[in-house]
This record gives sequence, structure tokens and C-alpha cells, in this order.
Amino acid sequence: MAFKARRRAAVVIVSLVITVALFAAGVSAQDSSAAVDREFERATQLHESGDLQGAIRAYQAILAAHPTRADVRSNLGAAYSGLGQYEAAIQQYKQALAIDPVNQPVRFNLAMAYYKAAWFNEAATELEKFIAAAPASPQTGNARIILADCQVKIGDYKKVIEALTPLAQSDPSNRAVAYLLGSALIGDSQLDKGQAIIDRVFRDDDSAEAHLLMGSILLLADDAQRALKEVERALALNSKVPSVHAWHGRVLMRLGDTEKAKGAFRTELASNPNDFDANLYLGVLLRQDKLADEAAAYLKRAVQLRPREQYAHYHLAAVYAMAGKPADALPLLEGVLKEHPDFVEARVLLASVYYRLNRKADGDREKALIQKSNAEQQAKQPGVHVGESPSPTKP
Amino acid sequence: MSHGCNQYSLPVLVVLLTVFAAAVVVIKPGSARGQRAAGPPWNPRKVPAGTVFLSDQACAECHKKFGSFATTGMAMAMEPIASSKVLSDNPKLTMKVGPYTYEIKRDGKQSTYSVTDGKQTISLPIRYAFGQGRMGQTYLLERDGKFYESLVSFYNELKSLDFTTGAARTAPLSLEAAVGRLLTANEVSSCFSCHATAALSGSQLQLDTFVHGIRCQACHGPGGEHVAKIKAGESGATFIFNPGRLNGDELTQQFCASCHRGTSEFAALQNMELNNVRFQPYRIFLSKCYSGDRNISCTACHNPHEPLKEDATHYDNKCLACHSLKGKPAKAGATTSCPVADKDCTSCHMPKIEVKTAHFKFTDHYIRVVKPGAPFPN
Repeated sequence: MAFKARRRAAVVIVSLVITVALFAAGVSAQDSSAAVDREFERATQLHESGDLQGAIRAYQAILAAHPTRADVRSNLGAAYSGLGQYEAAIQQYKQALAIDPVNQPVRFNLAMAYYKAAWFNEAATELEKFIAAAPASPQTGNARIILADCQVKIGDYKKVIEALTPLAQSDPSNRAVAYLLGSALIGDSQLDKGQAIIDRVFRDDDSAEAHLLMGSILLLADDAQRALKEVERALALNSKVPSVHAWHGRVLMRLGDTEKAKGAFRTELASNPNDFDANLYLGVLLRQDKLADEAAAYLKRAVQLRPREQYAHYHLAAVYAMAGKPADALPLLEGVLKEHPDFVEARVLLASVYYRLNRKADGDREKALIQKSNAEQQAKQPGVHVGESPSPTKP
Repeated sequence: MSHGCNQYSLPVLVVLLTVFAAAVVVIKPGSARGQRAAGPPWNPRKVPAGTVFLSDQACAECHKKFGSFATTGMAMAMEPIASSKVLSDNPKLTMKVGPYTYEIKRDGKQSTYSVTDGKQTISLPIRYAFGQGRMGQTYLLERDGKFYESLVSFYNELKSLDFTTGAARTAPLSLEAAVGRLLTANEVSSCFSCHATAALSGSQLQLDTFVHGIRCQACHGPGGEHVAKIKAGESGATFIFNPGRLNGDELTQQFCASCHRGTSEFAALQNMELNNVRFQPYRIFLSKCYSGDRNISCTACHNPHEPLKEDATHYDNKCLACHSLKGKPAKAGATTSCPVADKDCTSCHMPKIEVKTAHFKFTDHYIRVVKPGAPFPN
């Protein structure tokens, strides 16, 4: 009897202890959750005030204790994206989607980070998923346009033509649709049809954006003189259009005015430090000026902005080689040639870098490939004969 | 007093102390800087701000055997105007381009560059003369605080003026444009960094103190520490940069190519067609026998401390280090022997190519079997 009473009392005590403990834990969890929300709010305020580094530290502090907060992780991705650190942003968005797979705003953000990092295949895949999952979202219209731009950039012209032709017919004044459809038709070798669509929509449009688009098309078509007029008109109308100074720089560079081009790129970067072209081409021009340290800073930024842009990797490697850092140049060049085995300049530099690192056999192997490629090139384009006047060139 | 077996005998102790002392010498900070063993080597075109150079006399006190260096092309890459042989020997040079007439006139120790359209004339004192005149000489002019590359240059083959290499060979659009090409600050620095010594300190031009031409310290770096060590009775060898320690590709494509241009500018040079014959590091890289080692590097054939050897036979020994002459068996590990000649290898395999706009025949450093009538390989 006494034993039973003692046991009952023990059970009651244990139950009480457990109940109290659970209650206490509940209160603690509520307190903790409220504290986390306060931290999240503070971090978001930092983010919105423009203190992206501070916001990143605050988001990371929350995630250290609460790694499954998809909302915090998504905001961390956005902060990285704001700094142009798209690879880091992509990682955070992917982790947020792993926690919350149906969160479509996060998927859209992921697609945009891919797009800005110029990972157009991945961006297209995510945009297709987003459009399929959220056809009525206010962002779906933009998603379709960005998807078409991705498809133009990866050369999937027929998909763009198929998707945008009905849209262009139903809304012939839509400039974005006309531009992308025109670009796709030009890319698909339907030059007259594509140019006609773009001309029809932009001919009478005197906006800065329209002139910038025309300028960019003309530059890509190797008509730098006409491109300059269009871009200068865009600048006169609105010099704050994103990337207008970068395009101005590119046109000036094509025309050989490298000093003015550098000025244009610097102007772009003063207000838009994440502009890939401005970082890349300013780095290239500074490399030509043998200003290795300054060139490397811009080229590193370009590589960070578009990690798969092999042209930026090549120029950064060339800067390292010039600065006597062949070991730093090596992995960049090997990566470039893995993606683009026909990139002769990169192979030449790689051979040189191997030689500098005393890897003679590797250098000789690359050199043999260069000689083979050069012989093939020479057979196609024999070049000049001795005694002919060469074209004027800079000393 | 115990005599334990773990005590060192005196000779052993001396040896250990010597080894220890030697180790201290190896790791002290100044050593690494002097040897420049860590990090990139001395870059002739990137002189750190505040670098102090000695006079050439400080080098000549010990390095008497390099006295002939003063007569090399590199040492004379710039001529002081007051003592310019080209300008003294050619006291009046003229040229007519469309409506413009150019004149370079000597007056005592100064020369004046003038261009006129018949109504107005712009006359400027020649501030700097680039080149020793073997091929030609181009002038740097200063107008309103800005530097201009002269539109016309002196060419030795013509003993007269013609368009500066690289300039558009057409009449300028205005008298202002007829003076020459306005140079950016970076372009001016670039000219001096390859034609002068101690002209740059960081990114700042030192036009009051620079030395004309490429002198000892342009390639070997500042000699202050080196001289101080020597004067203190210590070895100074590790306190001066020796390009001879670079491997073949570093020397050819990085060090010498910093002025003479090499593989890091491959695409641009490849597009220059015949003009790229002027850039020897780029051309020699294309040679089948270039393999990044010192056997086919610049200094394998050229002694930078001596005037350039013009005689083709001088270079035969360099080729014969690997190749064999007509009728002789091929050397082990080398290619076949030459089937047609027994001397003057370079006259066939490194032909002289005339760049018409430069009025000069350059030796093509792309060593190859040249087939008659074949186009110039880029």
C-alpha cells in the first residue's frame, strides 16, 4: 500500500515536472520566436536602408541559430544579390527553396540571380517553373519577357519566335516583345523580318531606352558610327538609364577612342557598380595600359558578376601573367580552355604560363596545339605577302 | 665539475653556431627583398613609388667590363636634345603633307618642330627624342602643358621625314591636328618607361631627374642596397635583380616583352599582320623550337650588355647547339641537319622583312623554313 502510494505520488510529481517543463519550454519558444522576429525586422531595416553588409551579418546571425528560416535565407540572398555577389545569392535562394519548395517569389528571385550572373540556361529553367506554377502572378508578365531574353541569349530563337509571335500580333506596340522577337528573328537568320519589326516599333520612339536599344543592335551589327549617334542621343535624353554609359564606352572602344571609353565605363560604375560590361571592358583597357593592379580589381569584379564568362577569366589570367603571378593565372586559363578549346589566345597564354612554372611537357603540348591551329588558320587566311603595305597600326 | 658525454666539444660547437648564424642570414627580411626570391621579379615598367636609383657611375666603378653597354641600342633608346646626333647631323629636315609643311630646324643645342599651312605656323621646341636613329627617331612635343607625339618622324633609310609609324598616312584636318597625336598621361608614361630609366616613381613621371635610355638599373632594379653591401665588404649579389635567373619564358615573354611585346598581347599582335614582325618575343614564340627554356630565349642569342651583332655568322653557333650542318649527322635529340647550307642559318630561317611604313627591315624572329612566295605567317 505504502509502495503504491509512493509510486502514485512519484508519477504525479514526474507528470507535474514534465508539464511545467513543457509549459516553460512553450513560453521560452514564444519568447525566442519573438526575439528572432525582432532580429529579422532589424536586419530587414538595415537591408532597406542600404546597409547590405550589415544586413548580411544580421541575417547570418539569425541563420546560425535558425537555419531553416526560408524567409531569412531568401533575404540574405537578396542582400548578396544587391552587392553583385550572385553566386552567393544563388546558394541562399536554392537553400530557401529546399526548405520551402512552393515559395514562388523565392524562385523568381533565384531566376533573377541566375539571369544577372548570366547563367541563362538555369535562369530559363527556373522561369519556366515559375510561370507554370504562378500563371496569374503579377510578375509572370515580366518573367515571360526575361525568359525570352534568356532564350535569345542561349540561341533558342525558335522558342522565342513561337512564344512571342502571337503576343506581338495582339499587342504590336509592346516594345519589349518587339525587341526580343526582332532579335530572335535576326538570330534565326530571318534578318529582314526581324529588322522590320524592330524598326516599326522604335522608328518614331524618341525615348532614351529606344535609342539605346537601337545603338546596341547597331554595335552588335558592327556599325559603330551609327551606334554612336544612337547612344549619344540616348545619353542626351536621359543619362541615368542603366548601362547607357557602359554601351557608350563599348561604342567608343570599338571606334578606338579608348580614353573616352574608360571615362564612360567609370561614369557607369559610379552609379552602377555591378555593370558587367563596364567592369570587364574597363579592366581590359587598363590591362592594355599595363596597370595590372587596377585592371585586376575590375576584372575580378566582372568574374564575380558572371562566373561563367570565360572572356573575363581570360583577361584576369592575362593580368596575373603580366604581373608575374603565373600560378594564379593557371587555374583560370585551364578553366577557360575546358569550356572553349578553340580560344587560341588563352592557349598561347597557358603554354607560356606552363613554361614559367617549369612544366615544359605541358607547355610543349599546348604549343603543338597552337601550331596546328595556326597552320589551319594560315591555310584559310594566307595573310599578306612581304612587300605589301600593311594597314596602319599603332606603334 | 662533471664531464658529461652530452657536452659539445669546441669544434662541434663552432660548426653549430656557424650553421645557426647562416640560418639567421637566410631568413632575415632584407635578404628576401634583395634576392627578390618571393613574389614577382623586378618589373622594368612598374617602378614602386619612392624608388631611389643611383648614377650609372656607381655601377661602372665595379662593372668595368660592361663599358660597351653605353653604345647599345637600348642604352640609346632616347637621345638628349642638346647632344642628339640625329638632330645635329640633320640640321634642317622638311616634309610636305597636303597643305602643311613641316620643318625641324637645329639652332645650337636646341631643335624646333614647326608646321605651317602657309597662313599660320605652330612652332614648338622638341622636348624629347625617342630612338637612336638606327631605324628612326620620333619626337615628343609639349604644347599648353600637354604632350604630343610628332606626326612626322626622322627615318635613317630616307635621311628625311615621313609619317610616324602608326599614324594615318593622310593630310590632317587642321593645323592643330597636323602637330601630332595628343597623348594621354598613361601613354606618355608608357613611352618613357621603355625608353628611359628612373622616369617613373609609382605613376608619377620624374621628368626632372630621369636618365635617357635603358641603363643598368632599368633592368636590374635600384642598386642602392647592392652597393651598400659591397662597400660594407659583404656579398651584394643577392641584393640586385638578375634577369639571368628567370626561366626562359619569364625572361622572353614577361621581362623583355614588357617593352618588346609578347604572348600576353597575342590577339592584338596577330592582327597587326606585317607590322608584328617588330615584336620579337611574340614572333619567336611561334617558332617550332621555342619551348620556354633558355636555349631559345632573348639572351640565348643576344648579349644585352653589348651592341647588337649584325653579322649572320655570329648566330650560327646558337643554331648549331642543337642542329647540324649540311652533310653532318643530326645531333642526338635534335632535328635533321640542314640539307642546303653550312652557314648563315638566320639569313634563310629568320629573313629580314621590310615594314614599309617604318622604312626598316626587321629580322623576323619566327624561326622557320621559309618557302619562296609563301605569305608572311601571322
